[in-house]
Amino acid sequence: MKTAQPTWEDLNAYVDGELPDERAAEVAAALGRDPQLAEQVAALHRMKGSVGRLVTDAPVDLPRVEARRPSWLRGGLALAASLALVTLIGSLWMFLAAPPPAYAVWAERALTSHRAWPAGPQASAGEAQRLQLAAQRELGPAAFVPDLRAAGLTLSHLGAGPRADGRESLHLGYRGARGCRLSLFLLSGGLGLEEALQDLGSLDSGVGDSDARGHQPGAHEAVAWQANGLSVLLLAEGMDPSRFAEVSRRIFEASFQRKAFDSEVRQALRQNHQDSARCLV
Amino acid sequence: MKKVAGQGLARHRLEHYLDRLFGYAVSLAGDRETAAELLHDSVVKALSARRVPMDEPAYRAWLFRILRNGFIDRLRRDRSRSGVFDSQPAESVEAQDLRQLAGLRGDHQIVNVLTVKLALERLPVRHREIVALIDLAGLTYSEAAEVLDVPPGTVMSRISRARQALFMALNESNVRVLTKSSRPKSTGKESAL
Repeated sequence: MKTAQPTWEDLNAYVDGELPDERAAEVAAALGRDPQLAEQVAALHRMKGSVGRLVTDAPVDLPRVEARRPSWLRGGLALAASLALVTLIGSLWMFLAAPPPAYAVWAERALTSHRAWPAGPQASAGEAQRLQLAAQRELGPAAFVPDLRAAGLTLSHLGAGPRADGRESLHLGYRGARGCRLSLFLLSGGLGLEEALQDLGSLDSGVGDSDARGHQPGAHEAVAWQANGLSVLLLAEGMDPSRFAEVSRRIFEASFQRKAFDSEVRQALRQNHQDSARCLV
Repeated sequence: MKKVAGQGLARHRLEHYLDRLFGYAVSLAGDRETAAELLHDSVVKALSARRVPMDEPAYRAWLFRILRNGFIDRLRRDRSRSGVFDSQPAESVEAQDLRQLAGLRGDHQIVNVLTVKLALERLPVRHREIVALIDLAGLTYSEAAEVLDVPPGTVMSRISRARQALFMALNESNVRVLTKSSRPKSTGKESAL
């Protein structure tokens, strides 16, 4: 029978309520006899209580998780099924929904702007830096202007984007070395978007490529969300869907965190870029 | 606390543990930004899991294990920190150690939230983790054992060693504060810092 003086482990387990009843009774008896032990148990209780009060709210900018988060954007059969469904829903929605949401109208116009953005070479590093600073000045500290060079995309264009609800948006154009183009549109204020990635499906049902999603020439990917008071729209054409998914996920997360990509994210983007197929333009 | 999107039962069930998961993530990662990323990844995995334990203690342990595995995956990618979980030689707490701890016996003020937080931050991950699981997340020894994949008896040893280390860190902190020459003078207010 264990009746020895309580060990330090015993005292801890006693405070945690983890001792068997019999041993707990023995420890309690020992505490009654030994004021020093009792003080140690009291200190353990105080410390345990203090640690318990360290629980803080999870960060307010915790990205929200929707069923349509990037998991659906990744490859495989699930992707094919999802895209087919989204395309179908998108097509039906274009015909049946009236009027379309404000963000959908904005997105349609943004696609036009994206296509009107002239082809050209990637900006030099200095020019990209200048555009980055200009965009950040334009948007203010609330916005995050992503540096996508790790993903093989250089900020090469900064201009006015389409208006929505009387507000002018900003168009940031990123170019790859082999003709890839990705557009990021930022609009101050809400536009009915959620704080979650939303697949906008096929935007231009009247142009003829509404069923051309996937990695095909002319097929476009478009996602949008709201973050920190900004409406954000990201779209690209002819880009490997897995690459678009990775880039959009990273920008989505960064738009809430408002911080530059860390080395781990940059490495992931770099790896994704290497693993993905080249753009079809 | 912002709620995770959606109103489904799975999300509602998970929301209940978000703050404690975040506290555990901070104890592992050592900074809130990485912890937020860990939490995010864990939420995604938990919500996309096909099989979710129905029993609440098992569910709780399952959530914390997801987060821990995510952290370990990060460590594997970051080789410079791969030794963070290295096991240490077994320590035994002898009577002499207990007398050292007695320095805190009568000082109630030292054991407050701020000083505990600062002391906890100075501990190795292996100590922070077990303290976070037991005292912050509120897991039982058997639940923590499941998260850590060790016997419950090991949890009992680890938590006692970790608290010993925490007491020592508090004690060191106390001495430094009281003797530091740069301590603010004549403020009329005493600070735990």
